[in-house]
Amino acid sequence: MSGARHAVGRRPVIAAVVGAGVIATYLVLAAVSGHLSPLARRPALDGLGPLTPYRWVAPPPEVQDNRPPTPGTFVVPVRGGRTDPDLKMTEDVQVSLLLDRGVVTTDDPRVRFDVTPLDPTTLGPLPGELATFGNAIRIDATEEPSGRSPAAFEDLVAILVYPETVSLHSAEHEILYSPNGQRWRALDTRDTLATSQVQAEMPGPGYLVVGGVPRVIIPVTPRPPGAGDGNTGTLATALLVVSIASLVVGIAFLLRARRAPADPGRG
Amino acid sequence: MSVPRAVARLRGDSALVAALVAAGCAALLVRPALTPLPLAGRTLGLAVLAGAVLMAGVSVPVPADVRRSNPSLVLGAGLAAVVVAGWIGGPAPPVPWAAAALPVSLLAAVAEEALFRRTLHASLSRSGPAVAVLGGAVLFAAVHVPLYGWAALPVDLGAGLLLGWQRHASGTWLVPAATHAVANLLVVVA
Repeated sequence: MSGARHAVGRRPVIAAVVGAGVIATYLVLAAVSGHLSPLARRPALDGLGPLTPYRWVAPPPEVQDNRPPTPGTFVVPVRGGRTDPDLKMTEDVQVSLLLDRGVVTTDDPRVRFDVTPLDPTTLGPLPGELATFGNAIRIDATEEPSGRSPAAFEDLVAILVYPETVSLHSAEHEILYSPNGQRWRALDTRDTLATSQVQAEMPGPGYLVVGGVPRVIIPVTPRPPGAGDGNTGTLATALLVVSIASLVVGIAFLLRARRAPADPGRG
Repeated sequence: MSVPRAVARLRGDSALVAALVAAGCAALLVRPALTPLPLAGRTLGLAVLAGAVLMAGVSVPVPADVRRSNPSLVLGAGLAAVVVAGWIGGPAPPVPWAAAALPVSLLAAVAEEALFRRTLHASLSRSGPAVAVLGGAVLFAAVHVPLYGWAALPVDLGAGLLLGWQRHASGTWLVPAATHAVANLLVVVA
């Protein structure tokens, strides 16, 4: 900053107009993204931090120190015959329900949603080569106080977090739905690899699972505590990271070396 | 070093700058490969990649730029814009970030700004400020599509335009770096 030459005050009106135009464009584009997907409702989508370990109902052998997932019960008020717009999530944030518009039409004053994580092996198998990523989720809705269950939802978006492990990972994931947990059908799904989240509109009460075709399945057996990972996938990833990091730094130093006689400029 | 001399040097190195930016983008794109790793390995890998991009971004000398507007005002306008942008789309479902996500995201924000708004911006500036701002924004948005999907393209394009304008107006990449860091902070803690 200190090296910048001052030109403050030059054409300030034009600068203000350009700045306002850029900011307005940014806000419009942010609204467009938010309209396209709830997962894109952020000021920027670029950070990629690590997530907390996935909580399994029935953890695979390589997962140690598993914590059980949290179920959720949400009561949503009804106004004008439709549920209020709302966003509800379980305490572990693995399941979110987005009720942007009224998802249930009822004469009752409120609707209760129950979210229950389940072991997917207790339900029907997924079609084709799909493997289950994480827990199955049962979502029930009850109109209160009548106790009726709505047959269908309108615009209820379910957002699920899925696990990625060394033995189970995929480039694409989709949400599958079943009203009874036996026969599954794929929903129109948006997959966000950066945050390991998928979203889809849920047609009605029932069961959801995240499915995907595993890219590589590496058999993993339980390891004694303290033993090395011993996994080729981990080693390959580490090598990839080190190689690319070295390449980036190497090119930078090559550039710097070519300019060795020059003063390092400031930007 | 005078501005014309520095620009001339940068022009002579354009192939290497392009290679540097391409390698930096590759480092950003490879991040999902870390997801299956245990938490410690994932955090370390993300930090190594962001650190490499940051190192690369600040290693290359670039010419000093003109300060066209008050940097404090430009920073304030950018910060206000990211706060509004986080709210304007509607309620966002939370992400189960680990505690390490905050420092990693802040490091990534500064690293990306060093790459896009320092080195790339300086290189593209010889074709005019519009090219520099737009070129950086398009590449910034495109490189995040594989991670966040097409729905993220508009907001990341808009964020790239905002950060590029901040770079041009303030004459320094530190203003967009601060704005970007605050945006990532909002994403992680919101």
